[in-house]
Amino acid sequence: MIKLLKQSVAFGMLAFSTPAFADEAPSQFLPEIAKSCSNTLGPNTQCIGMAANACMHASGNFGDPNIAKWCLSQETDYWDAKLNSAYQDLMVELQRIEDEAGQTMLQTPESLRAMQRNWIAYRDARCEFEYAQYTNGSGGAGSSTVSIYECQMQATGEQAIYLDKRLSQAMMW
Amino acid sequence: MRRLCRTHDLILIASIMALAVPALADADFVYSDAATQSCLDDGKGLECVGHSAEKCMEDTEGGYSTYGMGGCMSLEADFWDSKLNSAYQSLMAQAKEFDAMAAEDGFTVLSQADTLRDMQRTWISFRDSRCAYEYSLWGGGTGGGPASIACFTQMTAEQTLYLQSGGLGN
Repeated sequence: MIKLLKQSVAFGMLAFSTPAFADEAPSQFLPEIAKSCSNTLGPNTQCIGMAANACMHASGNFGDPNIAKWCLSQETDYWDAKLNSAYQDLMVELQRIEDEAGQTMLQTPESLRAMQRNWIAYRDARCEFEYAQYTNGSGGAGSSTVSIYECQMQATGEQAIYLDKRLSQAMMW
Repeated sequence: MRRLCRTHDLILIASIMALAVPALADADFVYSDAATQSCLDDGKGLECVGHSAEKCMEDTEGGYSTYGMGGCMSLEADFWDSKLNSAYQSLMAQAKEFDAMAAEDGFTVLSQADTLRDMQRTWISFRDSRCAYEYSLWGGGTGGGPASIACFTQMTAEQTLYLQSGGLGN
């Protein structure tokens, strides 16, 4: 949770009310699942959701909204950390490339920053829309908030993967 | 003259026009939506991006010049843009229907229509800034034009498929 709050400062993560859990984790989350998928497929959106899904199954209570939220937020944290480090590394690379080229007019670090700011606004609006689609749905309030967790994970994973691909390219310049 | 870059940003248009070496008149583009459309009909989704543009480059004389590529890619960008508009309109119609039903039943729920509109608005800014970022990577080089059109097309295709799936995750 402290980690999540720290990221909120850096990336404006919406402060969704994380359900209160006992000190003990309600299931087992294995980031290795996401890592080994990325090792096999490279940065690929197909890898999003695998680890959270395995986590929900491992709990023995698949379909329990609180377990789902916990597992999904674990994977969101995983992608969020990837996103943060790819963003920061990419910023360093872009600065290096500009310095080497002596072309500060290219504005690549600035445009990366602007993109990331716009992504945050998009992610929040998208998850709000997905939430609206579940409001009053058959699953009731429990499942509607699960959709926000799922949306956060999906959107964060997509952007982390995008930045990761751009980083690999930038490092080759 | 084929309409190029209907909805592209000025920066995209400017980037293409700057390259407009008049070796190839707009009227000379041999382009059809068929290749991308038939790929979509086979359910191949995002894999279909670029099929019509590629065919256009093959069929158009000078299609592999920077200007030829830019023109062919722009024509396919228009195709995706109109796909996106129809997907958006049809999801908006559903959203409004849902909102009306909820209001009739006396539920005060978050409006699907309003949140859909907000999402689409923020998506446009996100797309524009991502494509401006990709353009900036070329530092004014001739690859910048095609790169920003490719970005526009890729993002528009992704958003189209997202909206077609009802706007729910993947």
